[in-house]
Amino acid sequence: MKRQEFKLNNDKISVSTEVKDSSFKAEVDGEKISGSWLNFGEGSAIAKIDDKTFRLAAVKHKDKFWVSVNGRIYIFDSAHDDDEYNQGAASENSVTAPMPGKVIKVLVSEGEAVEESQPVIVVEAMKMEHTLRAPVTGTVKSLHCEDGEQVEPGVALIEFEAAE
Amino acid sequence: MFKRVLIANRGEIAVRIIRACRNLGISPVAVYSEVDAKALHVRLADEAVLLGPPAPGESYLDIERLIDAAKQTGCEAVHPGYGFLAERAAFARAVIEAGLTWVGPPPEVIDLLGDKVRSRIAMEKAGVPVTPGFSTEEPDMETFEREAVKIGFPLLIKAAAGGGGKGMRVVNELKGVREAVEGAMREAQGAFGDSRVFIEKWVQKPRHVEFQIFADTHGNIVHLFERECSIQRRHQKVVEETPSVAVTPELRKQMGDAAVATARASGYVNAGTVEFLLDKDGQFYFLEVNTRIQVEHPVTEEVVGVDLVAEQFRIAAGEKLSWTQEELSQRGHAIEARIYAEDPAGGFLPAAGPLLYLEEPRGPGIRVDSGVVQGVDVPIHYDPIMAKVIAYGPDRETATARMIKALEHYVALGVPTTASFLRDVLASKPFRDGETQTDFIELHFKEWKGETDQDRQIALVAAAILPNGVKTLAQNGGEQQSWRQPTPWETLGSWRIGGNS
Repeated sequence: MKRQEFKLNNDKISVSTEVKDSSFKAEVDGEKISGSWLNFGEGSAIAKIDDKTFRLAAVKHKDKFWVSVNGRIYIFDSAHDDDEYNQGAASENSVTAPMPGKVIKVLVSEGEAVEESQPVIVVEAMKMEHTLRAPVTGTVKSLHCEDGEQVEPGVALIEFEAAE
Repeated sequence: MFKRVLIANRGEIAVRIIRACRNLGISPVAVYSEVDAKALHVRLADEAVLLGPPAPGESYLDIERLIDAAKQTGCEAVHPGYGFLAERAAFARAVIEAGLTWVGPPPEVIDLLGDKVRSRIAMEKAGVPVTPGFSTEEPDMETFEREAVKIGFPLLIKAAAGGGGKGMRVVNELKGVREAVEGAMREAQGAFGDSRVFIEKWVQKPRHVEFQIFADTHGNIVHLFERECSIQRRHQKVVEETPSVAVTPELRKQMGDAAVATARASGYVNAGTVEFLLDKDGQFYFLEVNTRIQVEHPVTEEVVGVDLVAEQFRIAAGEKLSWTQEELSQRGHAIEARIYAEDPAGGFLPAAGPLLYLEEPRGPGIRVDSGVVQGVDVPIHYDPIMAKVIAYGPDRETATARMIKALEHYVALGVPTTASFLRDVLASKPFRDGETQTDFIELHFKEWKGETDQDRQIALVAAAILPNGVKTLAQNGGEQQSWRQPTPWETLGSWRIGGNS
């Protein structure tokens, strides 16, 4: 069996798989499943487990796995390249720009106490204003942007220090 | 009829207009920005003209470039679609001044109806019920706060030049007025170049019910019944249907008459939509007129059995309306679900990215108006609508069941979409019961987190097996590229069939 690791909300999940003829065997975090497997190429397949049918499609793009199961979308991160992946990326205690846009108004200042889900910054994108909220209750540790600044997606705009 | 027309738009509506052109024997000319060189509307047109860089101001909003493109390709008319310049009177004027035909209402009508403040006053005069509110040409904060108290809370701050929820705010108490007015003015200035805002009473638990109208240049006006569009996020529609479960035959007659009166009072020509709020007691209030084809026009087409875009061209060419009011009737039920590139579990933030995999649904009663194909990037620069799924059936229950299945068969990977969220909306009890008011999503789906855990195991198995089998797909073409070799259709700049002959 071929073993791979995926990441979901910082949990690593080990997946071993084997496809032979028109059946598959797999072990997901120690749990065994098996059934029939019909591969159509181009990233799509149909699996049957007992009498349940799953229409599957999956692609990999930039360390992310996009999967559809009967039209439901699952996104998993690749468990590799951990260091690179985490560098400069959003920590849980920061607010990041969700898309390219412009900072309209920073609503807090450094050192200020904030409540979880309190509005902290207004960003404009697609000509709509989006209010981003504090992820934690605590204080504003540092500001990385100012009013009027153009920002790129994934960049931390405000970092917070969670209250103990 | 016109021989050749310019479609001053992109995405699914440009594709929709191209299809109407084909049915009428018109040669469609597309325009595109640099990021749209591979887009579906470019592939389907007879000619395509590059406008410029991705930023809308340098491409789809550049009036001069568009007029040049129309003249350069020998077009006789310009269809603006929706969004971009569709409701910009200055564009309509520029088209007409260039000796071309504008497929839409006259610029004076766009001016009047695009100004929420002036149109409110005009509709009140014509006897159309409007919501209690306040507007002034010279807004100052003290007056706003005083009038807000008079109207009562909650209330809405709206942009005079507004539409699509841009520049709109709900205010629950006096101390929120200042911040909301300032925010709405900023957003309105950015989106419309006009910062004027006004206050309107917030009708509680309303349904959004609109009437399709059509008028020709010979004085004939009809309505093509209602569409209910109550299911909205960010004050923008995501699910629409016709008929509305809340509209009785008597109410339909009253609202239809009011819609026609609205058209008459404004000197309307071509396709338009009169929007009303309908409260729980069956009282309706004029909201605004959209002076263009609507995103949700297909539900009307399915139930009334017409081609609204083709009719737009006929009216623009000076023909009489194809139908009298008596000839029009509703048959069956149609629902539309809008597939946006957005993350429904993350506040519906617009998304962008490569469309690595795409499967669109088919089958009896299913229509997909799509602007995308597998392998293209969904750009961040424009409205994130990708496609619309329209389900038709003899009754609401059948249409709903067909839509649920269709959305389960809409599979897009690489970009988050609203598809599985809307599937859950359609399958929910409040939707099936017809309990559709404009707070529907806020009330029933605020905490929607997307995928349940039940199929995660098989999803992980698929992730482990499937992408490996198609390794070359994602890796050959580099990060943002599609995996196949570009065809000449994609690599050429402006082109035309038949060369310069």
